[in-house]
Amino acid sequence: MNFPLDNPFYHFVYQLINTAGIGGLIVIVEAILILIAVALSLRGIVNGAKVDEPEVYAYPTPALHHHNGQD
Amino acid sequence: MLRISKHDREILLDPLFHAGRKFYLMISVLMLIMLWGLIMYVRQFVLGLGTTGMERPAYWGMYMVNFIFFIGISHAGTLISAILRVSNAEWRRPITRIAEAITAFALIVGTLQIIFDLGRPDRILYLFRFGRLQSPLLWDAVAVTAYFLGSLTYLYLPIIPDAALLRDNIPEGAPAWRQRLYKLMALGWRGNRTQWLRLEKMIAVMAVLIIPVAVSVHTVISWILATTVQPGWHSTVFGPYFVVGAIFSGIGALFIAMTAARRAFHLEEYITERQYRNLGYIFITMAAIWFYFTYAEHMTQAAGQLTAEFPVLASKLWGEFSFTFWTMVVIMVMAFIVLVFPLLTPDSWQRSRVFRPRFALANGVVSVLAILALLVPQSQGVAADLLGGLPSPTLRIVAGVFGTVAILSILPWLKSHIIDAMIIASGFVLVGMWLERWNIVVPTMTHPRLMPVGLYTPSLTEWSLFAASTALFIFLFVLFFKLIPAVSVWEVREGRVIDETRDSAQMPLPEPSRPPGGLQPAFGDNEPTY
Repeated sequence: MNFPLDNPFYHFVYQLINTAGIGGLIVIVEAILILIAVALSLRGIVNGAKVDEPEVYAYPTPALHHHNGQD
Repeated sequence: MLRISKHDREILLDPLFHAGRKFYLMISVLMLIMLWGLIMYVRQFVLGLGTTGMERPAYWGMYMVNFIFFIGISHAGTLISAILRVSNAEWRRPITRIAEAITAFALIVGTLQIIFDLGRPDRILYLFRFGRLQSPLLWDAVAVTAYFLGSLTYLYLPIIPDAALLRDNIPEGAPAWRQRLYKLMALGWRGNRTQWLRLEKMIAVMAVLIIPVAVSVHTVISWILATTVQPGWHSTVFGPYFVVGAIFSGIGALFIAMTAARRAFHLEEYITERQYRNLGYIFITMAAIWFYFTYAEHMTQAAGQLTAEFPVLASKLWGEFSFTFWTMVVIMVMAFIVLVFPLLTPDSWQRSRVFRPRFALANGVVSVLAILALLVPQSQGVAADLLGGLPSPTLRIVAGVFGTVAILSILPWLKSHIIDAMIIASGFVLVGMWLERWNIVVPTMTHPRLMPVGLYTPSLTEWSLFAASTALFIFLFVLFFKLIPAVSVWEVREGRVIDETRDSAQMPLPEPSRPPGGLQPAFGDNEPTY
């Protein structure tokens, strides 16, 4: 097997980087994945409002990370 | 309901709901420039790219220069803001939002340049229909898409608590659409502990992720040039060179934007000299690295002496592009002088009667007249009348001596006016960086392989669209900060608490390494215990 394209792996890579339209598909998939990740993260923030914590703050401080809201 | 102090409310929130005559005048001027640009674009769309100065072999011109320039400016924001956030630099707090806004708007304006350059905008779809993974243009689309979406998210996340503040503290009589807007943007924010922890975690994750994405964006843009075999572009230095230039111009844009916001909204109390001084140190570092890469890039071309490459270098050093090349070099040297020399100036100079701005101005005028008389020996006018009769060596000495005295005389003023100094340096850097992009793109395009040397002069259409693009960038910036506070309110309040806590703590002296009055133990003795 002297010619690299006889190897199925190299053949697959060759097809992958030379097929028209795959690049566009990757941009679209990338954009969709980012938007889904952002939407899920924002949903986490929205759902955070439903947690039963009576104290609310206009700004945080590092101490808030260790504060359990009981004292 | 989230509360805000009366003082913060008066300075940060109330101006969002009042617009004076200056605001409307500025918006009108910007819209007129954009309208002119739209007319010129429609003309280009109807008549074709023949209305530009681009023709064979110079297929890329001012649009490409502007694309690289605006994408470079976009690094102001997210990258600088993210680096400062990750490194926990507390002084970043008042300027992060301005930096992040610059990123989003510069990316929009930068991407528009590609549409202009295509001539037919529908051809942008070809990238998606026929794009192959081997194409650097495709990688650019991947990187810019990730950066744009990431930057918008990174801009939006810290706005959520401020939008909630605006929702809860909106003045009476504010338009209903603004109430709805802030309610929508606040995403039901209450400000409980869980929400704060989730928000801060998400911002921290985004800050870490956005740094490599930002670096990839400008590296990929450099690959659009470097992966070709065009003379002068096939360089391994281009990736870091472009990234450094992008951060450098980004900081310049940030200085100008934060000063504009500071003066427009009277944020002197929030954006202080501390931000200018610290960001100035980063600016100096980037300037030094930029000089190094510029030298490295041109030195390798000069040492290589390749048949195809050397004409490109020669056109910059003494040929048709020598004016833009040497203007760039002089401007960048001036920027470096403005940034560094005041730091080396003794305080005693400020008490001197000699080192005054007027004295510097007078010396500078004489120096410029001598340079004019040197460059245009046959010219008529003031320079020729005053200095035209002098021989060339004398004119060189006059220009050098008076120029040096002018620079030395202005240094104490620059030292005591750090904000003005940064604005002057930023102006130099932005012009210099635009010229740098020009010097990279156009000389190579007009000196290609296997083709006769071409000519390129930007047409009125290209200049108009450049002006309209700049106007659009400023327009978006002005409009955005009429809706959202220019300073992140919650981050500044958190920073204030942290600063006050640090100030109230008493820092102990370091432990002495030897007992007072005692002898230092000889080498090899047992370590004394205190």
